[in-house]
Amino acid sequence: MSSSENKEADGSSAEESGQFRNRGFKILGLSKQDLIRIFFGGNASVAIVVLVLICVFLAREAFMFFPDHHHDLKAYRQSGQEYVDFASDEIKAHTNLYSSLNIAYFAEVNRTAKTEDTILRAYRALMANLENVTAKTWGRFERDLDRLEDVEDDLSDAKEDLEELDPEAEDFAAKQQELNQEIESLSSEQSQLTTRVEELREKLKKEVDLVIDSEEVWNMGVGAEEPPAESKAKLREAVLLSASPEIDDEPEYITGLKAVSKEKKAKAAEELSDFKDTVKAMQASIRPLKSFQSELRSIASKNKSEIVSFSTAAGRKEAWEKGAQNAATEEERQRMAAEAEKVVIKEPDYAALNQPFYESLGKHAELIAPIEVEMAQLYAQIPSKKEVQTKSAKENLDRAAVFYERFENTVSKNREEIKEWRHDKPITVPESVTAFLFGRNWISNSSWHDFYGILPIFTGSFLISIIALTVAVPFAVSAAIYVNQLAPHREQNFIKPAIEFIEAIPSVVLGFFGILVFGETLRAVSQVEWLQWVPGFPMAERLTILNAGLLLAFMAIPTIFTLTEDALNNVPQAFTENSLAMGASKLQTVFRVVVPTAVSGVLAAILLGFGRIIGETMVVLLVAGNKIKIPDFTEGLGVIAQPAHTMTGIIAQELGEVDQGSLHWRALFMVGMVLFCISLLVNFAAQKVLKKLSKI
Amino acid sequence: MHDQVTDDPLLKTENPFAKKATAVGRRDKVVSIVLRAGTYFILLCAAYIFIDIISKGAPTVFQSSPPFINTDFFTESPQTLMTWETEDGEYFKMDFSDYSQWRRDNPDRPIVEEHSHAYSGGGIFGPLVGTALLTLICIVVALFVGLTTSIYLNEYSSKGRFMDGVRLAIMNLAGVPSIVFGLFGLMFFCLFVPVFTETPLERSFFVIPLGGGNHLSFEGWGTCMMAGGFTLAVMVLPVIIAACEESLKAIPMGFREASLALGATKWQSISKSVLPYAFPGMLTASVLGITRVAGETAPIMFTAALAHKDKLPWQDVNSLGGFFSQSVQAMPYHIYTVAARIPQSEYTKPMQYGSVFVFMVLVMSLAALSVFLRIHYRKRVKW
Amino acid sequence: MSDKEKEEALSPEQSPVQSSVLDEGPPQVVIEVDDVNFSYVKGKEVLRDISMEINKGEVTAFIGPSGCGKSTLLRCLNRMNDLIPTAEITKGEIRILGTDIYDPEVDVIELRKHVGMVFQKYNPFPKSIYENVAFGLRIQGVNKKSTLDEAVERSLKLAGLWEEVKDRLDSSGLGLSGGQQQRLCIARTIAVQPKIVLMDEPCSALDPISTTIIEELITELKNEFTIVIVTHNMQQATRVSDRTAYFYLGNLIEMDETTKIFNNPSEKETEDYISGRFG
Repeated sequence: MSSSENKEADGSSAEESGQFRNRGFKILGLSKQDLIRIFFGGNASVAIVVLVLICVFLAREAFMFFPDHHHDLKAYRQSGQEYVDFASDEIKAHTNLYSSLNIAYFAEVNRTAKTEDTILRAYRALMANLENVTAKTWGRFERDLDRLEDVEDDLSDAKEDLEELDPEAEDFAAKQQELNQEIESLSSEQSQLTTRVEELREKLKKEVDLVIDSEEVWNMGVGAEEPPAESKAKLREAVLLSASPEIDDEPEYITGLKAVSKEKKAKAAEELSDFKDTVKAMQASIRPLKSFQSELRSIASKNKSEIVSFSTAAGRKEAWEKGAQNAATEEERQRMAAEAEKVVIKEPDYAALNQPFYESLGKHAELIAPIEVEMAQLYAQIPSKKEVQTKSAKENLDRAAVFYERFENTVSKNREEIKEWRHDKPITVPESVTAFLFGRNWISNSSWHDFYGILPIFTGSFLISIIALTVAVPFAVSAAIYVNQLAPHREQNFIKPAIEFIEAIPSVVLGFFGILVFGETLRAVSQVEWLQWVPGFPMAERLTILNAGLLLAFMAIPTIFTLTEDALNNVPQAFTENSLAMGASKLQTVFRVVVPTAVSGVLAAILLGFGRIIGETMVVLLVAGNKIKIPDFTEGLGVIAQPAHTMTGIIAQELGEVDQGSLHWRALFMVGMVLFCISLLVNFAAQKVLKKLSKI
Repeated sequence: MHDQVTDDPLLKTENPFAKKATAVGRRDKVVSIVLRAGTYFILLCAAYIFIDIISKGAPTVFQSSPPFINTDFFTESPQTLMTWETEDGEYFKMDFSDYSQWRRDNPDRPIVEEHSHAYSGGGIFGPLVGTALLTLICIVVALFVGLTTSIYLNEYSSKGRFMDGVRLAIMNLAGVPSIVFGLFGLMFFCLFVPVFTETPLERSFFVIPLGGGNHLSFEGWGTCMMAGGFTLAVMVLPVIIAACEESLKAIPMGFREASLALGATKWQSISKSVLPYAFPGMLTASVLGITRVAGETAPIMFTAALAHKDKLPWQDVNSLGGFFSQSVQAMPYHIYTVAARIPQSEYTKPMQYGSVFVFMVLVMSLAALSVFLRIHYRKRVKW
Repeated sequence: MSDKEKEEALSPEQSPVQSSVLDEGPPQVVIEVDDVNFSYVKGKEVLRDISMEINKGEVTAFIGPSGCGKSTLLRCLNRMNDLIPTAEITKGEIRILGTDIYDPEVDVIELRKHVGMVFQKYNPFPKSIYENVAFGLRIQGVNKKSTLDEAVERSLKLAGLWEEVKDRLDSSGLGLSGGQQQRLCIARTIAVQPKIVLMDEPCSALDPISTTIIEELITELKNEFTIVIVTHNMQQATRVSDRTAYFYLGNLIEMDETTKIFNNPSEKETEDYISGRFG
């Protein structure tokens, strides 16, 4: 630049010698060409600017989260909520244990009447399906029947009135006529209705006869057990009976079944009475702790609201004062000033607030010790896995073992922590950070306390991504190998655009497909007998981690495919030729030369595919089931059949409904920040891996 | 000659290169069949999705009588669908506006059963218009920035720190999740961007008084189609830049050198002998960009989209600024709404599948166009 | 075939090639090209009416100006042209060891195991030196460490590379100098003990010193293999080859003893070319 300026200065002094002089106007010493260059360069830096802005704006909201969060956690401790939650945790652990044992018990009892229950369930399903099909006629029939009853009542009333009429009365004639007319019209309506009811009755019968054997009606719903074949004829008869409008009572067959079922269960319950008593005793043992906890809970809630009102008091006062300043009328101003006066800023006496908790310390210890002993005794009494017969009972006993251990751990851990607990123990900065990064709860809009721990949604995102990758990578890579190395030219020209085409399917369409079609299909597939070895099958839910994972795999396939194909394409042709010239077969060449050479490109493709999956929003929002809870890993790999929530999903779902600048809002931005960091990390790793490739 | 050869002890066998049914050969065959099966399985899945949506969506969009297309579906905005039954057993199904009309016309016919199904009636005109507007704003902005950036990267820049920074930024931008762009758009375009106003909002970041009652207030545009369009533009930038650069790279160096050698300035040679030939590439870039952008939901969720809006964007608007600063309905958001945020019943199905069908056909034909354009120009252009 | 059998078949002691070289007698024809026409694209023939015989244990050089078809013919000999979908032999046949190699019964992979090839641009795989040489054996299913070690050492010794690389067999083949890389490629080719080695301008990308080394190597290798070499460099042809074929515009103009071609060619065109009047 400076040299051109010098030239310019020289040129102006020696006009005629400047044959090749830089002509044209200049602004600030910049020629038109320079300006154009700067204009383009400025636009080019938009990418950098945007990236910086994303960082700045996310970081701004996200990092303001921590002070707020710190404050919030402090309130949680000062109000004594933290203390109360020790007991709540113990109760929760106990409830988990108790309820899994309860399920096991009922599974055992119900097993004895399984045949009857299956038929009864089928009966209910049949009736429901039948009613769906004939709903309209049913509705009209019942309405008309009601109306008919009303009319008949009115008619008899009118007839009574007529009889009771005093012939001496002066308006006797008029009234008599009136009543007669009424009776006449009512009777005509009655006869009309009667015929209509009869017609409808016939129609209903016909309809029922017509549809009783249709597939639609006999479809028990996905996952339901079919009734035994020999009972089908009886079942049909029973359904026909109870569907016929004349009969209100349940058919004998059904009542009989019910009685048998009840009897069998009672017998089983008697046999298992020890188990039952144990479970009942467990349920009872926790009661004292529960009442203790609920008492403290209400105190803590009161404390919390006092503390919250103190922390917002200054702001409210300021708002009233500001309002008073800007008030339009004098009256308004005075009112607002008075309101401002009313706001009292007085720090609560935390020690006094927490006094009840310190006093209860001894009682808690007193309560929990016998419970622990009793539970140990009771747990020893429950039947072993060998003694139960149903699959569900076995599984639940397994889970109970896990839950029992957890219960014991919780109690002993809490015992230590309660000793340490002080309402005024300061919360350190790392503590408020780890409460976010490793917090096991994400609870918002709670009446008790809002927790913002990223772990549940992070686990959800991560699990879904892992499933998606494990499914997508084999397909995408093998397709890329096939297309790039083995397919004839014509096939290449067809498959490549087709897969690019898949990439263009909008994610919301895939999510829509998942929620309306694929979820149901997947659940149906999961009931198939010979697929039961797949973990998590059969699935009870429609919207699950697996569903989301499979759809995301489909979404990631084009990305991984395209990048892998590029990487394979970049392997020099000479390598292939050499290998072939040595007598290697086509596939030996592919797997021993081409793929190993391209391996870092393939790795980068997988990484970028991962980036795409973890950042995907709409599919997971629609399909993952949106349950904010760390998936229950006690089921092993079966965890994939559970619903989950994701980082992207939670932002999309909750951001629209929170106040700007609130703790919740900032927590969501913090989640965005985590996503942003993950994406940068994945990109960085992919670039590193690729650089390795170019070094070869 | 031949007998000489066969004398060789080596060559006792008739054909030393005869095909051998080796394990390698069999394995090769199996593996390649497996790979091929994998490939076609992917395509099969895609076909399943397409066929499902088309077969269930087509009945809503087409009809058996002329004009064969359900015009109401394309010319009306989403409405509540009403179903009811009168006492005499007659059954009705109408959009909410028709329902009100019917109630007015038949005040004395008692209704015995009445159900409303949100978003299940009417058509998809509003969302279609909204998506078109959002896409238009996005593509204008993105193409402007993207094209200039790619010209700079390809024509002006020399290697250096700045260039590496730009490339790195673009690459990283491409990997950022769309929902994060949504957050950024919300914070930047909806809540921060400066606007001229007489009455700055209280939440404005800072206000610069300009005199005459005017202020430059950093308060953002609010939730509106401008914010949504710009957010989408930022998101699609890497795609546009990459596509534009590809088209510029395809133009041989000779064009520029020849032009410069004739005494043209840098800008003249770019504008006269590079850009005109890069036009097809840029066209492809913009179609590709539209394809990417039209399907996105997450970035417009908080920046522009509304689930329900009675008026079309041009109704009741008196200035251009007012036009651009209103929220719009958008197809992807509409699909999200009907798929997940309303109670499901058999009456919602036609609307759901109809919208998805139309949306998918639109996006997929754009995608097909971009694939076609790229293949076409790559084949045709041989400098 | 089990691993063991394969190893036996490939072990040097029993290699028929070696033993047969010892038979002194009339030259044996291993490659017969019989009136061959070849085209890459239908209708445009790049080789016309080529007939020649190549003898066992000799170095045969193909010379001629660019585009004369010498490399094309070379690539026909191990069917590397199969990689181009439209390329085909339109007339005549090529017989190697008495078998028509374009016969549908012929397995191209078996053929290439017997007819190795060294390319113009040296291109070791991005693997270690050891793995590069062992590659051919590994794809034939030989995985026994001792056999591989032996074969690698033998091939590298044959290629004159052993002394230079024996201490770094595990480092990447790409870390060698150009000449060494080309010798590595030769070692890789001969490790599977082909009967014929085709060389497509093996020295054109190398400096003069490396070229000399490779040329010496070729002379040594002809004791064990039949070598066909395409070269641009006429001095190289005189230095390494026993017989020379001169191609021009897709025709085989003349083929004879190298000394005769260069000193006393029978065709006018050959004389013009070797005396440097064109090409």
